[in-house]
Amino acid sequence: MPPIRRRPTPNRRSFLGLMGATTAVAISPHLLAGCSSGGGGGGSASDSGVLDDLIPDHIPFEGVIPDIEGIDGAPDGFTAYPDPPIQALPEPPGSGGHYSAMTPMWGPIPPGLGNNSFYDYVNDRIGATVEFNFQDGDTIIDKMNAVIAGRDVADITMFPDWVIGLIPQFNRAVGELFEDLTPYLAGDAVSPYPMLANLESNAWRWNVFNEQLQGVPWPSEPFSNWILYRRDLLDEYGLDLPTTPDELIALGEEVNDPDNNRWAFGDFTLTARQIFGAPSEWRYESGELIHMFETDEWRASVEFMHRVYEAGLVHPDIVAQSGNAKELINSGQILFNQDGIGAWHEAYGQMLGDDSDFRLDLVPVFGADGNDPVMHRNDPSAQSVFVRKGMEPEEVEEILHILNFCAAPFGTREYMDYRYGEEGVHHELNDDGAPELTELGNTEVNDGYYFLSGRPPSVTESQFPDFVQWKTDWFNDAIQYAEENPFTGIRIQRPERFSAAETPMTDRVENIIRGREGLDTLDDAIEDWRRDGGDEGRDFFLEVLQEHGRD
Amino acid sequence: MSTLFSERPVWAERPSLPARVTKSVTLVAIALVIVFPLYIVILTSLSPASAVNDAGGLVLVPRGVSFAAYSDLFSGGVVTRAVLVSLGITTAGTLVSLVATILAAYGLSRPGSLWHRPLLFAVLLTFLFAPGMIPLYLLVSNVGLIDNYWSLILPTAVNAFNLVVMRAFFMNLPQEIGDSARVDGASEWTILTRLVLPMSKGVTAVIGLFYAVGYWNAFFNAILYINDNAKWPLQLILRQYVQQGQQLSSSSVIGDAVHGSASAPNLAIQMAIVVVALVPVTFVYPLVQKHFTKGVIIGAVKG
Amino acid sequence: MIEHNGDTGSTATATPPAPRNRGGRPRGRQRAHVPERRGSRRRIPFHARLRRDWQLLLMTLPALVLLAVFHYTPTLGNIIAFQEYNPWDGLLGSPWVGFAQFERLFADPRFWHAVGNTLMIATIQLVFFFPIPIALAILLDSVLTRKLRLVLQSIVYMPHFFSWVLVVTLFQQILGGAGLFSQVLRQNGYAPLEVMSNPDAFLFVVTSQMIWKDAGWGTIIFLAALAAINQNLYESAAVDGAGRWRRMWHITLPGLRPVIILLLILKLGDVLNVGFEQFYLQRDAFGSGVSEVLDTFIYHQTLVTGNFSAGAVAGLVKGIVGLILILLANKLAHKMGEHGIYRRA
Repeated sequence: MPPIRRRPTPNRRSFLGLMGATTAVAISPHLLAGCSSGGGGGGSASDSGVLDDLIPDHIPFEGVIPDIEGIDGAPDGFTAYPDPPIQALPEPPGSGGHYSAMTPMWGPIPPGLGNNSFYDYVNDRIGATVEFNFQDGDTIIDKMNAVIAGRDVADITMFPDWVIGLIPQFNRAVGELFEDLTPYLAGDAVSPYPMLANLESNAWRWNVFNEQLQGVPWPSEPFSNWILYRRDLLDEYGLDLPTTPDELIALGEEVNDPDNNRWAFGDFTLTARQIFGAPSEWRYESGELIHMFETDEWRASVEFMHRVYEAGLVHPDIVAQSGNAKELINSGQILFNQDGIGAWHEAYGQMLGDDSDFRLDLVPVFGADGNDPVMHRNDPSAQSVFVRKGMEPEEVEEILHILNFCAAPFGTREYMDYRYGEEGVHHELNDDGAPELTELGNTEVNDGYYFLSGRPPSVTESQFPDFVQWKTDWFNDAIQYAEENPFTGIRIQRPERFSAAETPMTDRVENIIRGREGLDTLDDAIEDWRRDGGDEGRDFFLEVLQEHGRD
Repeated sequence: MSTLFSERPVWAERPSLPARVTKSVTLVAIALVIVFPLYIVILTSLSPASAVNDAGGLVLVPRGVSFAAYSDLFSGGVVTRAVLVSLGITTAGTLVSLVATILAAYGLSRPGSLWHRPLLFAVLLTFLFAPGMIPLYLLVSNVGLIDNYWSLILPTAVNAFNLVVMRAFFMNLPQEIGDSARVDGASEWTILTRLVLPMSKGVTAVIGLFYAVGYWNAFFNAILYINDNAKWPLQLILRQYVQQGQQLSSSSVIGDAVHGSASAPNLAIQMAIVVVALVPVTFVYPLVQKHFTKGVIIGAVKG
Repeated sequence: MIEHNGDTGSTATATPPAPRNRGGRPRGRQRAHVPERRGSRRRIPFHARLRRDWQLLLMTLPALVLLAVFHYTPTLGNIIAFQEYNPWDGLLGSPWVGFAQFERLFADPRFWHAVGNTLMIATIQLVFFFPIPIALAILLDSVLTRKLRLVLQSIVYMPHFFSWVLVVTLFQQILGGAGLFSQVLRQNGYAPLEVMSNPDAFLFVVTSQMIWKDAGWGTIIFLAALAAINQNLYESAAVDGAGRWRRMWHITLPGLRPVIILLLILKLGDVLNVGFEQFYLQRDAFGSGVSEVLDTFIYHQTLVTGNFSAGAVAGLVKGIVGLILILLANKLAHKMGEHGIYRRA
């Protein structure tokens, strides 16, 4: 994951919202201030043998067999909805407790407990009551900083992983606010929780803080961003997919047609880095750490993006940083756009009903200059769920049973329950066996339980034509180019000056890509970056490597 | 006089033709520059999925009408409830704010009164120095206002800018009225309520509007102080619809939303939200403007 | 001290309010008398002034209590500017670093670059934005038909309720390279507009956006002030043969002057707060070279680094600069014979 994605708001437009005049209070910078470490705190997790004693044994759940197996950490694919779904847990696991849960939410707030039959149904299935307090997703970092300062946590609290990375002294807070789960889950202690035991070990390792297992992970897909393209429209042109950067530009010039309101591209700076083989952050070579900014591969990717912009192939709205790339590709005003891979099925959900020929696909990965691409991996866990410290052991166990329920993978009855509610009430199965929310379901069903735990990632939307096949093919192909990151599995709080040096650097790179500054200023920019924190970061990261015996 | 608004005062001459034309053209141009984008917003909110999908952005040309965005918003009653919460907070908050502000503005409006300079200075300082998010959160938490509606009112109840502006209007009133009433033995309370306020309806309406709009638009305090979703104000509830889908695809790792199948396109919902938040605003302005009546005020006293 | 007043007040309830000021009390706008009053005030002993003014002090009490509790108390938290603060250790646990945070900020050339941009934008706002609501208010006020006036006023104040995200999006969709105008131009063989991502057009674009969004909203206070002008003055001036423009010059503008001066002074106090979202949203479009203002700079400093203290430092610096400007402007206003925010003592 390139460092730029550590910014909590990947989409600048989303976080301020569209409505209303924002008050002065809401935009004053010290309110928006997010956070990460002071320079001192080093890596907090380690990959040494000690760690493996702290995490649960990995016992794969074999009740559901995928149709397409994901290779080497790529998600499994399911080309049909299992009928009937497998019952993974014999009986409601709870014992009647009542727990508060705080999670961020990106989407409409459902009616609350007492007015929501979906909650009643799932709580009944669980055998305990979970009462959700959702938090505004875009400002979750502010809320969590306040909550931590006030020590006001709920019984169950979910933190997105990037939030953890930005909260100062989280390492210290976590042990004092949240229960140490090691005694409940480490090794074979996990056996009462088979769905949790089904989660892969790297994700668990990522949730060890100060040699204590603290959180329940959400195992993530290996990659998050790549170029999506309009497969239906490209087929109409009868054009072949690119296999080199030059072919990509040539293809772009072929289809670019501003007079008819069609441009070739949105932005794909992050993808270009991977095509050209730049590291996601550091490369370790003969005893030295080289940062992405210092590699020839990254420089080549910047030059390439500069060419793309200069050739006028990028839609003017994207040049002007308008946040409407999804709408542009959906409407065919651009044909290629880098986005989160999740945008794919989201677009299908929105477009297929209107236009059944609509097709997206991921551009097959390719490299530059005859080299392989370097695919940047996600961190192993995308979120962590913590249990409030100071509860009775029985309560902790009941909560873990609830989380275990919510970790049931695709294909189980439990999964259908916590995601879609009761069949016939909250959802119906359509001809493909896919759940479709009823009107009541649309109002009441929400992602609350889904966020209480993770489950192995999988590709499941078989109601979309060829989607599962295409997506798993892409992952199984791309995974062979996954980066060997020297810091894999080490949770690092970055030194403050190192983090601070990044914004001016990315600003200047944007200037260069958009032609506001010449390519020749890149060396100056890199020099400034080294001076303003880059070199300090290098020393720090080198120390981390040595600490973990990876040098 | 106030009833004869639409007529030209007898003493005023009729403007020349070029002047009238220039003025009309200017006004029409100004109105168009604002109405056209407003039209785009409303049109998009009423557009069916196909129109929004084809436009690739806001819809400029009408292609069918759909109320799906609005029915999506109001299904389930969460938005309806939030409207009531917001109306309540806005009403109560505006009342508290107006009372405190009027009293203080009047209390500080007599030149030479005891301590008025240091007190005014203390008020002004709050205009210049703002508290940080975390200290404010800890305060609200310590006084037990978490999940209490008052946490959305009290921290922003007095606004130095509004107070100073109101005070300036009070000071511009002819001072003789107060002085003579005082000689007649009237209390300051009487002078304020019987003489000053009736002459200050315009500015009171304006400051009330400023406060009301502030409460109506505010959401950040609710993010911090209100955990219970049932107590969320409208703007915070509406924000959630805007975020829908955006976070999901920017980081594919955090799940695919169940609500991806909402019947109205995201952009239409976002524009419907703008419209919904705008509706009360259109009702409020005439109420304010009503108090901009002319003539009665100072004419009665002849400064 | 305020409570003490209240006590004194209750004992004094029966006492009729002392006559405030004898004789030479200045009327309305005749400031020439002020020094005389100042002399007389000094002679009144404290307890007499308290007895005279206790009701006024009591009236300020609710607002002052609210401000003391919900503003001053948490504002004390800004001493984290002198700390290496983190929320977990809190105010008491975080290490003290003296002025180190200030030094670091002032030593950063990008800080001064942001200050430069901020001042440039503030100047533009003062010169090009500030007068527009005044002119617009006078224009709207001159519409004689009440219904039409109401409709026009309701329309022009509406964009204030659009968020910056929406305003920027609307500008892009109308004036952007793929926007409405550009499409028409392209279809007729002309070059498309290139303003929405052209750094040279930045000041023009952001000023237009500000005017579009907030000029109408800004008229409201002036409309209230216009309504407060004594209408008899117009009539007598017209009878004396003063034409339209002369009436505006000699009655309308002087009538608005106190409000204009007041808002101008307050605006100066706010000079380093030119807005955040508008610039944040268009950072990549125009480049940080022109769009980096103080608030975006601090945001990026604090966001990625978790340095709450830097935010507090910036807040203090902005407040102090604002305070100095307000005091200077107030003095200047007095020199020009205006009240400013408060009258000279």
